Amino acid sequence: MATDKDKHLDCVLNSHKIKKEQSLLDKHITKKNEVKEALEEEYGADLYAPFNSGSYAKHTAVNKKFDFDLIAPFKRDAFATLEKMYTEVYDFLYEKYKGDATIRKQKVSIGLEFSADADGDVIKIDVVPGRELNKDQYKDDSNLNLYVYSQFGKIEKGSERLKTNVKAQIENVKGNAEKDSIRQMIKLLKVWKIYNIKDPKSFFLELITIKAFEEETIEGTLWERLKKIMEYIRDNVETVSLPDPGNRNNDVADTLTDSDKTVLKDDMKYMIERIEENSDNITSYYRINPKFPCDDENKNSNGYGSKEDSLSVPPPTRYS
Amino acid sequence: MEARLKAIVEGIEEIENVEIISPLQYKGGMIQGTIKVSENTAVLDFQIEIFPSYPFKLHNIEAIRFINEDLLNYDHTNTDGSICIIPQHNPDVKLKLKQDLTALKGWITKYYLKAEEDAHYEHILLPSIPDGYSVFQFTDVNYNFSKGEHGYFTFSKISDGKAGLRDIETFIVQEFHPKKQSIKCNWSIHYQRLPKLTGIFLYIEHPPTPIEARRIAAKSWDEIEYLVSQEFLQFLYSINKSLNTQKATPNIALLIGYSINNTTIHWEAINIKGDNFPNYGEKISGKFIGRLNNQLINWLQTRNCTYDYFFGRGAFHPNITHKKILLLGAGAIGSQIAVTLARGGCKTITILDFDIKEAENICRSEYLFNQGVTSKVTELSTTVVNISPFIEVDAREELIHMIKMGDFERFSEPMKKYFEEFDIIFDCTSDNDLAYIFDKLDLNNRIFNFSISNNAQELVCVTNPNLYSWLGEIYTNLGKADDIDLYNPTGCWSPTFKASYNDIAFLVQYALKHINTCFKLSLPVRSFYVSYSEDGLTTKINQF
Repeated sequence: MATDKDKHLDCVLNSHKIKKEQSLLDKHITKKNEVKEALEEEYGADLYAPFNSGSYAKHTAVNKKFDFDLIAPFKRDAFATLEKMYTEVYDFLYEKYKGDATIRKQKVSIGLEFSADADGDVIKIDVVPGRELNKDQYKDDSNLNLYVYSQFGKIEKGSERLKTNVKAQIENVKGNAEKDSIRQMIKLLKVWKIYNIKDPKSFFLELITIKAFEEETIEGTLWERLKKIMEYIRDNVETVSLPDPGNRNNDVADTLTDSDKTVLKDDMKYMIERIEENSDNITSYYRINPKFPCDDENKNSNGYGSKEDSLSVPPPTRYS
Repeated sequence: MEARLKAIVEGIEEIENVEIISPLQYKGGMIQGTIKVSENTAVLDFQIEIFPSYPFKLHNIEAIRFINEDLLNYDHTNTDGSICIIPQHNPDVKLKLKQDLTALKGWITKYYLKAEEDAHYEHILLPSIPDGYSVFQFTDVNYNFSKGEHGYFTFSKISDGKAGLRDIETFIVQEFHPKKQSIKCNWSIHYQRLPKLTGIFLYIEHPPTPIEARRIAAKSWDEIEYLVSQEFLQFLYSINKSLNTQKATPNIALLIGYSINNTTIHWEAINIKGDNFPNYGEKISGKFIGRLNNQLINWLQTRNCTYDYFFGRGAFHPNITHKKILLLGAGAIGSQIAVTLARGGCKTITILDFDIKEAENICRSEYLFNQGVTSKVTELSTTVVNISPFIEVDAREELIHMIKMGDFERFSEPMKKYFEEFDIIFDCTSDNDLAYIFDKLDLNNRIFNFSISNNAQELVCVTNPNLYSWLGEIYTNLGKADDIDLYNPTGCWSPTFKASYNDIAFLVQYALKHINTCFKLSLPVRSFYVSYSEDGLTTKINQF
C-alpha cells in the first residue's frame, strides 16, 4: 500500500522533536550552564558572556543525536596568542572535568563527553573558545577568531586561525522569513544524514538548504518542498558556492571534495528516483525515531504507519 | 596448373615488390616455394608454405607461413624462422594474399629495418619440445637474486596431463635455497604443503642464449659457458660426484633464472641426465678449470605464474582482492561468489556454513557430483584453492551456530572483534537473524547482504548500516512479503525457491560487477537491487 509521503514526513519531524527528549535536553541545559559558570568564574572580566550556538540555538536540532556548542568569547588581550587561549581553556576544562568526562581537542572546539548518568544518558558539550578581532569591538560586531587545532604541523600560512561570526550564523537561519519551512527541511535532511550515516556536515546541509530557498520557489506540502530541495542539491551541489555567514571569505562548499559532492548529488538522485518509483521507499530514507512512534490517529489514515512503529521485518521469502 | 595453385601464383604476382623466385608447387599436401620481398631498403627471401585450409586459419594459426631462419634474432619470429604476422580475415584467396604480404612488409619495416622493441617482453625461443614433457610453473619470491647465485630448489608435482598423445607433468617451483637460506615462493599454504622434490638452480641475470644471439636459446651447453661461474661448475661437479655413488642416477632439474624488463625474474628449466652431466674439468697450466661440453641442452617448459601475470587478463579491484573477506553461507549465491572472488584474484577468504551439500544442490551451485555428500565448506574451499594458487582459505562449519546459540549480550564484544578482523563480509545466508545481529554489533567494516526473490526475479544487495530494516523495507516494497510458488520435491524436508544456475549466476555476476565498478570509480556502494523489466528482457540496477 502506498505511503502518504506528507504524513510520513510530518511523523518523522514529530518523532524527532527535541522536546520529546525533554529530560535529556534539560540535562544538557543544566550541564551547559554549569560549564558556562565555571568559565565565567575562571576568566572573569576576560570573558564576554558565553552563549549557546549550534543546532539547538538555530532550532534545527533533532532528538536522535545532539550536543551543545558553547561559544566562549574572550577579550582581545585575554591571551597573548590564539593557541594560548585554546591550550589554556583546554587545560582548565581538563583539570575541572577529568574525573567526570572525556576531554578531547577537536578542530575548533574542546569536546566534553560526560560519563553516562544513572539513566544511561551521555551529555556532550563542545566548548568553542574565540577571541574578539579588535579590542572592545565584540559587542558591536560579534566577530571572533577561533584557533584551529591540528594534531600535526600546519603547513599553510594562517591555517591556525578562523575568523567567524557565530551570531551571524545563528541569525542566518533564525532571521530568515521562511525560517519555519527552512528548519523543517534542515531537520529532515539531518534525519536522513544521521540514520544513513552520511558524511556532509550539518552546516553544509543548512547552508545549501537556505541557498535553495533563496534561488528557487520552495512551496507546497512537506514532500513537495523536500523534493525541491533534494532536486536543488542534485542539480547544484557540484557548482554551488556557500559563503559562511560568519565569514563571507570562507566558502563552506569547499569543505566537500569534488567526489564528496558527486556522492551527495547521487544520494539525492537515487533517493528521488526510488521514492518516486515507490512511495514506500520514503520510510527507508527518512526514518521515524523508533523511540517516539506517531500516534494512532496518524497511523489509521491511508493504512500509513503500519510498519513505522516497529522495526521493518525482512520476510522469509528471500533466498540464497 | 591446378586452379587453386594458379590462383595463388597469380595472386602473388599481382602484388607489388613481391617476386616468386622458386616456383610454387604442391609438397606433402601444402603449397611451397620461395618469394623475394622488397620493402624500402630491404630485400629478403622467404620460403612460403600454404596449408590446404588457406585462406582460413588452421585452428587459431595462420595457414600461410613466411620462413627465413636468418631472421631468428629479430622480434616476432618463431623457432623455425617463420614470421609472426597478424593479418585480417578474408575469405578470398587473392585478397587474403594481398593482406598477408602487406602484414609481412609491415613486419619488415617495424622489426627488421627499424628494430623497434615492443613494450612487452618477448620470450627467448626454445627448441621445439619433445614428446612427453614437463612444465615448471614459477611465481614471485620476496628476494632479490644476485648474478651467479645458485643452490638447491624444491618443486612439487601438481598434475599429470595430456595434450594429444603427449603426456605432460606440471610442477610448481616451491623454494630456493641459495647457501643456507630458504626462500619460499608466494603460493598459498595449500600448495606450499605439497610433497617436494629437489633440483638445482642458477641465477645468471642474462637470458641463456649464445653470446652472439639475442632471441634464441642456446642449443648446446658450451654456448652458455660464458654465463656460468666456476663456483657453479664446482657445485655441478659435486652433485655429479654424489649421484655417481648411487645405484640409479636420477635426472636433475636445473632452473636458470634471469631478469626481464629489469623488474621480473623469468626461469627456464633444463633436464640434466643423471648419467650424463654436461660439465668436465680441463687442466690448464696445472690447474683444473670447469668447462661445459657441447652436448645438446634438454630444455623443459616453464610458465610464469606470478600473481600479476596469472590475473593479468582481468581481476577485481585491489580494494576487493587485497582485503580479508568473510563469506557467510555457501549456497547457490555464496558458492558462486566464492568462485568468482577466487577467479578475480582475491587473496584471503574465510567461508562459514554449517550445511551439507546434497546432490540436488549441484544444479545451481558451484559443487560437483563426484564429490558426493560432504560439508559445503569443505568442498567449496577445495574448489577455490583448485582455482587460484594465491588464495588462503579458512573454512568453518560451526561458527554461525555458535553465534546463534551464544548469549548475545555476553559475547557481543568478542563477536564484534572477530567480525571486524575482516574488511568485507558477504552475507549470503538469507538469515534475518544474522542481519539483525550485525546491525546490533554495529560493525565498522563493509557488509554486503545478498539474497534473491523467488524465481530470481530480483537480487537484493543491502549494505550496512541498518541491514535489517533495509531488507524488510526493500522486500516489502517489492511486494515479496508473501510467496507460495515454491519448489516442493517429493520427500524433501523443506520447499525451496525456484531458479536455475543461469538465473542466479547472471544476477550475482551483475551485482558483483556493479560493486567492483563502484570500487574502481571510488564511489560508495549503496544498497541496491537488480530487477527485470516487465517483459523480462531488460535488466536494471536500482540504487538507494
